[in-house]
Amino acid sequence: MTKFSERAQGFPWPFAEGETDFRYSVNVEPARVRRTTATGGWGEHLVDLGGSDYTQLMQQRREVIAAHPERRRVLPGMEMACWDLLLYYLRDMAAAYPESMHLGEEGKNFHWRNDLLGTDQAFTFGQEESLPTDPLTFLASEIPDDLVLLTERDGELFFDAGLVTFAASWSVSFNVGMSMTEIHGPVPRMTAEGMTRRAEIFMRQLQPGQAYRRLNWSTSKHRGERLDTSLETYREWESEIPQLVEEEDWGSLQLRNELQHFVRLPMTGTVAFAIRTYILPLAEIREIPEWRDQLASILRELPEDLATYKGFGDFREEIVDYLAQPADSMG
Amino acid sequence: MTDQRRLRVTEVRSLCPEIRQITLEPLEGTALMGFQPGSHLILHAGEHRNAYSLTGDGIMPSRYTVSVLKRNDDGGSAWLHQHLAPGSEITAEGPVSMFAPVHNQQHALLVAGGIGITPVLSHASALAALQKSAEVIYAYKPHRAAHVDQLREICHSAGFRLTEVTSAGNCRKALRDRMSDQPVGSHAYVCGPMSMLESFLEIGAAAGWPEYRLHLERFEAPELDPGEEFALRVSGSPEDLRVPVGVSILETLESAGYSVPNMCRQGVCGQCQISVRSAGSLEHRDYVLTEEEKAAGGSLMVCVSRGTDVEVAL
Amino acid sequence: MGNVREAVDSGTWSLPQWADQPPDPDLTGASFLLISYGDSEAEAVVQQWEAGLRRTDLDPPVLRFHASAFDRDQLADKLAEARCGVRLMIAGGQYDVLQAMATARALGLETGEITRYATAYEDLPLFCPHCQTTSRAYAEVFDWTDCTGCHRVLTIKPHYSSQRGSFLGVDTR
Ligand SMILES: Cc1cc2nc3c(=O)[nH]c(=O)nc-3n(C[C@H](O)[C@H](O)[C@H](O)COP(=O)(O)OP(=O)(O)OC[C@H]3O[C@@H](n4cnc5c(N)ncnc54)[C@H](O)[C@@H]3O)c2cc1C
Ligand code: HEM
Ligand code: FES
Repeated sequence: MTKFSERAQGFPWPFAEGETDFRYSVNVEPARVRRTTATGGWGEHLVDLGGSDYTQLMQQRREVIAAHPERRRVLPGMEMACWDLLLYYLRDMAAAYPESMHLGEEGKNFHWRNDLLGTDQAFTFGQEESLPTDPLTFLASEIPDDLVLLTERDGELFFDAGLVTFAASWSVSFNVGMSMTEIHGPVPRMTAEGMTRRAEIFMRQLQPGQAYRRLNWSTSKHRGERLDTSLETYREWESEIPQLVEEEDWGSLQLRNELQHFVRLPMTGTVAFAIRTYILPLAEIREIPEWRDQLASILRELPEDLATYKGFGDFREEIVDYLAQPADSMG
Repeated sequence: MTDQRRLRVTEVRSLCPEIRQITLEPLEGTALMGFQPGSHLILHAGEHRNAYSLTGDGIMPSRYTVSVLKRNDDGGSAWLHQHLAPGSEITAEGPVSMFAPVHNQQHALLVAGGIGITPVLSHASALAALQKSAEVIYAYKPHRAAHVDQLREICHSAGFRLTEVTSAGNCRKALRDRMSDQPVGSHAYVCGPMSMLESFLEIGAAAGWPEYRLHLERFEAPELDPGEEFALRVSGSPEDLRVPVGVSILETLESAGYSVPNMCRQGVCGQCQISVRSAGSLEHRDYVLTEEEKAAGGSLMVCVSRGTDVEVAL
Repeated sequence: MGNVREAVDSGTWSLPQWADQPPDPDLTGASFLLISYGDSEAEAVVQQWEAGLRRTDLDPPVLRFHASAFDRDQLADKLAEARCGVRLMIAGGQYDVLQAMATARALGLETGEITRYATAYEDLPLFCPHCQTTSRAYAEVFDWTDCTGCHRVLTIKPHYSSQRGSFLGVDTR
């Protein structure tokens, strides 16, 4: 028996043990290595199906895809890269979850079965007619990660295709086609301190088939379970946090964590950038002493520009105080 | 270093005198990795480790094919000609990609000279499979036109055009003619003898092609100047080494007992890259690092590059 | 996106960079396509470019044209006739020049093959992520303006995409 919720157990806590202050860095490490945390652990597989929320997440994803075709953007010349991505991920999932995911292969003919979602689909590699949707949409409907593909031109990396339903206040339809430098323009310090350049060098040196990962955290732009905080639908969610602040409902504020994977795809050399989003309310974090104290210390110390960018600049003290109060005194 | 694996030879075919095509398949129960057009395998040929371009399109391959020109009687290429027969096994590394197509190209101009046809054939096959357009110039000696039938067939596809030439003069003429008549947004790729690469660069520049549209695959590099003697240190080691005239940093490190990954020893394969801690000056003589990387000075291809007062980290 | 003012104060934004004076032609080109949009000032810049090119020993082929406003098909036709090795030079108001740049890039040119000069900054291309329209906005970064597609009021963010040739607008009333 454990006292932590399922999502707390699998939450990829973004801070190293003993870390009490935080700055941006090119914090990348090899993928598929399990890390243990105060509540459980994460990271053994490339794709994290989560727990019982997998089907619910995929339902949410499929609804956004159906309602918002602009979340899928594929620039000309990227068609083969989408197949490369599909095949890489389906093979990976079949190997990681043999009890529920199966991929039959015969030459260029494949048969994919996902018992958890009830998908049962035969297809021929490279032939879009053989799938019910294009390959990027097909994959995005099977895995909870947002998917971005980057290609290299003259030493720079460009965001040339993607299907993104759970963006943290950015817009795939605007960002597609942009360089790493343009994309990271709004991020304080990132380009000025040379990080964009280093991130780019890291991605260019990835070898075919290699997979790396990094974590990125912020506070969420919304209150509930929904993950679609894309700029496209700004009006639908922008009032949620101001309202939370007015009500001083700090326990409902969520730590939003992105587990990002980088994979160099073999047939096209494209870099796949996959973003798996996790949320955990402060109310739950406050129940976990190690996390509560560490988060409070990091939030307290973070420089103003980063706190503002991450979304809690206007109520930093309130949430630090909230974390400092013992949970049981609240009943 | 890239992963090693054993592959089985399933066919050896003579394409023309001195050039053999070798077909490799996985041992039972393993799949072959797909690759980008223009990639190469590193084959362990007796005591040599040589690079050979994969000629296929790279899309879900069930076999790998390479074509090897026999250059002399005791090198790696001769070993491959002598020792491989259907059923033999060989150790391979890769595929390694260093001559990849640019994704958003509107059109490709592919130029091959002699055995340089191998990566060009790979590019052409992949473009045909994706129904893209390309133009190919193939220069060969009449009795040594490896893969010419295959190339002609590919170039029958819509949007393809092939020019065959059999003399250096006609090759330059074809380059002048075709490089001034490609659509906006084209990229050009060349693999062939050194003199052909030079013509390609010179004629391309005159036709207004920016450098980033010109892509070269070098099978070999020109003879290098022997350079001057200089001091070399390895971080963490108290010993001061000297790199003599005509001897490379790589050879100096090897004689001092260090092992450094390497392959071509000519500055073209990228295997011997090493971090530089500090240096009085650096003289980059490789074809691997970009101009930007060379200017930054963070690393060095130790098989060819030199400098003064260099400290490296191994 | 964080707060825009804060972002600007810490110098984090992506904006197109403009030269104060018309830049010189890139003489590594083998042929030149010169375009002016809008007023006579832009036309004068382009004429100056052409005169400069004619004076060089190279005397490369130069094609010059003027249009009242950016037109995608017209530019696509001219680029289809041009050959690789061409340099594109554009002068005009900010909106027309940025849209022409983005089109030229989509048709295969890279930034290194394009020279541009803005003769006026009174308009800019504005992308609305809510309805996917790009408007010609007579406004500046940080202003509020109407989206011509969905009529939402958009704030113009200091965030520019050279792929789209447009700024980002967000409905943050
Ligand atoms: C990217 C790339 C792709 C290529 N593709 C093809 C192809 O498709 N077909 C083809 O026929 N050839 C290809 N080559 C050339 C091929 O790799 C060999 O260089 C060629 O076959 C020469 O072989 P050899 O038998 O004459 O030389 P070898 O004697 O086998 O020497 C091979 C290399 O080893 C180096 N060497 C010399 N001495 C030593 C030493 N003491 N220790 C370690 N290394 C040493 C040499 O510099 C030489 O470059 C390619 C080369 C490159 C770099
Ligand atoms: C090693 C590689 C990378 C590093 C180190 C990195 C780093 C960062 C950091 C630190 C932020 C700020 C996040 C925050 O504080 O919440 C950020 C934002 C962002 N990153 Fe990256 N990133 C990397 C790769 C990528 C890639 C490949 C993409 C692909 C498209 C991308 C897209 C974005 C976007 C869209 C944002 C939000 C920007 C906005 O506010 O508009 N990043 N990144
Ligand atoms: S060994 Fe090939 S670049 Fe040095």
